[in-house]
Amino acid sequence: MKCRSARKMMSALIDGELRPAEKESLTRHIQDCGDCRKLHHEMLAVHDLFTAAGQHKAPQGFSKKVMAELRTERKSYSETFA
Amino acid sequence: MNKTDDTDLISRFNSGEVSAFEELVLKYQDKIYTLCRYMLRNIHDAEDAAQDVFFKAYRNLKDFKPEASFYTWLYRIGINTCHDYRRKSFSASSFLQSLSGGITSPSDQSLFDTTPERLHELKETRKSIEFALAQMPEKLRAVIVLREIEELTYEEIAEVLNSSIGTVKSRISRAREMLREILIKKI
Ligand SMILES: [Zn+2]
Repeated sequence: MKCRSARKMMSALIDGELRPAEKESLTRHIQDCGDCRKLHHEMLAVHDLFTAAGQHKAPQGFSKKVMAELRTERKSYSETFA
Repeated sequence: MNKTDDTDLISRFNSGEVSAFEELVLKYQDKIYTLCRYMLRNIHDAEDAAQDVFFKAYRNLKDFKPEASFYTWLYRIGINTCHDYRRKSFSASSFLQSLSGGITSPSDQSLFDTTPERLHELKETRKSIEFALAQMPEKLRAVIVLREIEELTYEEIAEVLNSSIGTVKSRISRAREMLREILIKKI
């Protein structure tokens, strides 16, 4: 495998979106090639940062607000078109 | 994300049971709010946008095709809504807030049950991510948020964005290259 194709596939490796054969040859290339190994480490570091950042929680009372707004909307709709 | 449950809730809603919609809101509110936070950066815009997503879903649910997944449909509304918000509300206040790096607010629910050290670390991490995302073209920001934060597969992302898996794959790769450029210097 050439560095050029290794570079192209590296992101999909992190996402577990490679076919087993692709995964195997890319993994082998990363073991043998210092430049690609460094790139892989850096991409993993970015990935880990996202994992650490994680998901937010919706503000308290979010669903209540949404439902209240929808009820007002339906009420004014039926008043207008009844 | 359970498709059968969603289909069941949607048919209950379509036969007049409004509380079924509230169950859908409760199920997806964190995911949609998270999407809006990372796409928009501004906390107030994010909450408004997330509410709009559910209003739009409510109005259009009768046209929803059950062969698609509800959550990919909902994410599509989310991405489009964030796109509209960025276009129309690049207001003075959101600009100022983004300059001061307004990612976390004291009322952040997710930050309540944690130690001060962890809290500080999490805030810094989120700030870095926000800083990097803000510099990316919207198309790349959308794929990477859907992948890294929302944890969708390439196939699901393609469904959300109505594009091919190949396009999603290469955009995610480009997004990662760009993030590496921006973030590695900071780590
Ligand atoms: Zn190489």
